[in-house]
Amino acid sequence: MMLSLSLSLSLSLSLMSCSGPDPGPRWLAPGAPSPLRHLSPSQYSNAVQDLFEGVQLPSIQLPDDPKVGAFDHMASAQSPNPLWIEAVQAAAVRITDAAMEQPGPWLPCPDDGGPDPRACGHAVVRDLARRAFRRPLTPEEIALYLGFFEDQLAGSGSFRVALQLALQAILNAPEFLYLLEITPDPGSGPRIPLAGHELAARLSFTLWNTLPDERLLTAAITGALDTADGVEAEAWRMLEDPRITQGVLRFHHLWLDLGDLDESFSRNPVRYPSWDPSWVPSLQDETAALVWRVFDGPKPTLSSLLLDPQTDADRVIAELYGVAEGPGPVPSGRAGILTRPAWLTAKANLINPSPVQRGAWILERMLCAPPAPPPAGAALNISDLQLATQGTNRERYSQHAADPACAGCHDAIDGLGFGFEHFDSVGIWNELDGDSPVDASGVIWVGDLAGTPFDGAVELSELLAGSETVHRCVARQWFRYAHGRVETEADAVILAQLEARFLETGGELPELLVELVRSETFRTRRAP
Amino acid sequence: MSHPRGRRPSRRQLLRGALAGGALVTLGLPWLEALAAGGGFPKRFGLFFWGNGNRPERWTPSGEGEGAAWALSDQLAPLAPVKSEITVVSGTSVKLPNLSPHYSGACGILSGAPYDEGNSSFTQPTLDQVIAGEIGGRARLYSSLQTAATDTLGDSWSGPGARNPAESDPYALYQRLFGDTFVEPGSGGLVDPRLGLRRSVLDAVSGQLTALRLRVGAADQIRLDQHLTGVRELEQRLARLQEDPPELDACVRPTSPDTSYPNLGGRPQIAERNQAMAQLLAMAMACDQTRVFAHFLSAPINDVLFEGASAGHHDLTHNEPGEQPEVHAITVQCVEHLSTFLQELRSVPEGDGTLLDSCAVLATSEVSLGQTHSLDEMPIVIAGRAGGALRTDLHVRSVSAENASKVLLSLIRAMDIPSASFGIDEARVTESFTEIEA
Repeated sequence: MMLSLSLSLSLSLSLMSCSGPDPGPRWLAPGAPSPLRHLSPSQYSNAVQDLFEGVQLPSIQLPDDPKVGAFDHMASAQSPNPLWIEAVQAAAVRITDAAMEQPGPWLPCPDDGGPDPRACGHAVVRDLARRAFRRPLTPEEIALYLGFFEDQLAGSGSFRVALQLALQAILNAPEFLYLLEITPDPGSGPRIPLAGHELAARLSFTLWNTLPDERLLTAAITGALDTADGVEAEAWRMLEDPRITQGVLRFHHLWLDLGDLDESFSRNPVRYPSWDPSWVPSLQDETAALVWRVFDGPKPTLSSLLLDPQTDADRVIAELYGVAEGPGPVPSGRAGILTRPAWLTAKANLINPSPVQRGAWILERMLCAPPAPPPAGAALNISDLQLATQGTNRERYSQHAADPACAGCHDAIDGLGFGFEHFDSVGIWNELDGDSPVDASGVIWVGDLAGTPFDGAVELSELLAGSETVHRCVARQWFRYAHGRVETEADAVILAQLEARFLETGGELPELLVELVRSETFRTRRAP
Repeated sequence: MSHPRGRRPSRRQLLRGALAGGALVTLGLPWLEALAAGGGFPKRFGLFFWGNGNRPERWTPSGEGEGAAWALSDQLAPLAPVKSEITVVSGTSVKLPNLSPHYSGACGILSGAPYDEGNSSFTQPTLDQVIAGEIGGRARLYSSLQTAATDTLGDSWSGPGARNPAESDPYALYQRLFGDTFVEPGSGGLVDPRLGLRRSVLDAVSGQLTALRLRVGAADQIRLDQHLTGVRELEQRLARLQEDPPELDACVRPTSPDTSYPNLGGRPQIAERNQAMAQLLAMAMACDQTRVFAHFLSAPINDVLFEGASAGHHDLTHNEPGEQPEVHAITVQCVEHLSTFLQELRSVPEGDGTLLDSCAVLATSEVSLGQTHSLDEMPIVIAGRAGGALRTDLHVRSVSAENASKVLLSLIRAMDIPSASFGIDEARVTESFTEIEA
C-alpha cells in the first residue's frame, strides 16, 4: 500500500510536467470578454431550415472554422475570412431560390403576391427578420428592410424578385450571422446582464443548436428570462422539446471526435478488406442512439453513457458485433460510448489500433489533462507500416516506456489506451493479437484514480464512470460548448459550482445543462 | 485550350454592338490599352506547396549554371518537360529557430517569420499575400485565390489569426469562377441580370455592418471590419461581373471538373484533384479573374496515403527505415504533380508565349528531410520568367547556406514591387538572391 501510494505520487509529479497547456489562457487573456461569435456551419443549416419550415433546402455547408479542443464554434478561432463571406452570400442565393420555388407556410400569400403584394411582402419580411434576428425589430430596421423591399419592387416590378432579395438581405445581415450581445447596460458592474433576446439566443443555440422558438422569443420579451429561476423554468421546457436532440447530439458528436469519420474515411484495404466508408453512418448512428437513449431515459447520467449495455444493431453493427440485427445487449467486453465502433474507429490507425490516440483522448476530454506534444527531436514514433510486424501492438507501443524522455507522458497516455487493445481499427473484438492473447490491462495515472490498475475497456469505463475528476472535466467540456470559449481564471467560481452540482446529482446530464444555463456567467457578459 | 479565333468578334465589333444596343457596357479598357502600349501581359504569382519535404540526397541537381550545365536529379526528373522554364535553388536554409516541428519551417519558408504555437497561427502575411497586397487588386475579381488538392485549409495567411482557407473542392471552385456568373469574352453571352440585384443586397449589408461596428467593443470591431472588407470586395466583384469581360483571347470556359472526387481504397485522388485545380487556376488567370494564387498539394505534417504507399506520408518520413524508398517515391509523386500543374499553366497561349511566361511560381515544402525536420537544404523550385524578370533553365547552389528569404525577396521584386526587405528576426533579409534574377 505504501509502495503503491509513493509510486503513484512520484508518477503524478512527473506527469505534471507532461500535462500540456490548457488551451484557455493561450487564446484569451484572463478576464477578456468573449469575442463576437458567428453561427457555426451546423447552427446555420439548422437555423435556415427553421426559417423556411417545410422547404426542401439544398445542402449547405459553410466553411468550417478550426477547432479549439473538441469544438468547432469557438469564438477565438473564427474569422470572417473572404471564403466564408462569399459562401454566406452564395448560400443566401441558393436558399432563397429554393424557398421561392416552394411556397409553403412561410409565405402567407400566392407566390405572385396575391391581391396585395406589398402587404404580403411586408408581413413576410418582418416575420422572417424577427425570427432570424431573434428579437423584435427596431423601427429603423423595419424602415430599412421594408424600404429595401419597396425599392426592389419598384425597380423590378416583380414581387418574387423583390421578396427574394429582401430575404437574401436578411440572411446576409450581421444580426442573423453573429450572436450579438451588445445591449447597453444600465448598471455599472463588471458583468452586464444579457438582454432577454440575447440570452434566448444563447439558450437555443446551446440546447437546440438552432434559433429560439416562439415561446422562447416571447419569454425574452416578457422578462421571464430576467431571473435564474425564470431561465431554469424555460430550460426545463426546452429539455422536453424534440429540438433538444440537436444540441445534445451535436455536443457528443464533437466531444467524441465522431466528425473525424466521414464519407471518405479509410482503413487499410488489406487488413480490413470489407471496410466500406458507407459504414460510417451506421457507426455514428449507433453511438448517437446510445446518447439519446441515455439522455431520454430513466437514468440520464454520465455513468450511463459510459456503461449503457444496449444497442439496436443494424446490418453493419450486427456484423461488427457478431450478433443478430435488432435491439439487444452488446456482447461481453463492451459497455458504453468508449466501447462502440464509432469512437474506437475514429481513434485508430489505418492498420493497428492506437493506444496513443485513445489514451490521449481520455486524458484531454475526460480528465482535462491534455498531454503535452512530444519533446523536440522525439525520434520514436510507433509505426503503422507493416501488416505482420514482430510482436503485438502493445509490445511495439511499450517501447515508449523504455525511453525516459517519452515515458513521462506515455505512461499516462498508453496506460489508458492499452485498455482498448481488444478492439481493432474498425472496433471489432479480437482475442488474439498475432499469436498472443490480447493484454488489455492498464493503469490510470491522472486524477482521483491515479494509481488504479484495471483490465479491459469495461473495467476502465466503470472506473471513469465513478470518477470525480471525470465528472468535473465533462462539466468543463459543456461549459466550453455553451460559451463558445475556453474557461479563464475568472470562471473558476462558476465552474466549481457547476461541477459540484453535477457531482451532487450523481452526474445527471439534464441537471448539468440546467445548472449551466442558469449560472451567472451564462446569463451575463463581461463589460468590454 | 485553344479555340477558333476567327469566330470571335473583334473588339471593335464588340464596342459597336455595345453602343448600338444602348446597354451599359464597360470594357476593361485600361488593361487592353496597357497591352497595346507594349506593357505585356500582367505578372502573376503563385505558390505550390507540398508537405513533409523530400530526401535531399536525391533532390539536388547535378551541375550548376544554365541549360546543359545542369541536369535534373532523381526526384526532380518529372520536371523534364518544363526544365527550360524552371530554376532550382539548392542549399538555402530557413534561419529561424526550429521550435515547432513542421510549423516553424512552414511559417519560415512562406512568411519569413516565427510561428505562434500558442495560437496555432502564422504571425506575418505569407508571400502570396504580401504580393497580393500590392498587385492583387489589379485583377478583375479576386486579389488572390487559395486552393488545395487534399483536404486542408492550407497556409495562406494575411496576418495573425487571419488564415485564407483553401478551396479543396474543384467543383465548388468551378462554380465560383465559371458558374452562372461567367461570360466568355466575345461569346455574346448576356450578363446575368441578377448580379445587380445581388449587389443591392450586399450594399444593404454594408450599411448594416457600418452602423453595427460603432456599437461593439474594439476587439469585435476588428472582426466586423474584416467582414465589411470582405463584403465590399464581393460587391466590387459583382460590379466587375456586370461589365462585359475584357477581350482576352485565351479566356474560355474550362471543362467542368467532376462534382466530387471520393477517396478510392482509402487514397485521395490527388492527381485528378491537382490537375482540375491547375486547369481552373490557369483559366482564372487567363481570364484575369486573379493574378495571385496559393495552391496546396498537401499540408505540413500531412498523413495522406499516397499512391503505392504502405502508410501515411508523415508516418513514413519518421518510420521508414534505411534510405526510405517509399518517402522517395512519394516525393517523386509530388514533383510529378508540380510538373502537371506547370504544364497546365504552359498550355494556355498568351501573345507569342504562354501564361507561364508571365508567372513566377514558387514550389516548396516546410522542411527538407522530413525525418529530422531539417530546415537546411530547403527544396525550392521556381517556375516561369515573371515577364522576363527571372532567369530559367538554371540551377543555383548556395555554398554558404544562405537565408532562404533572399529567394522570396527576389520573387517580390520580380513582381515589380520595390521591397527593401523580407522577413523578420533571423529570417529578415535586405538583399535578394540575385543569381536567379534576369
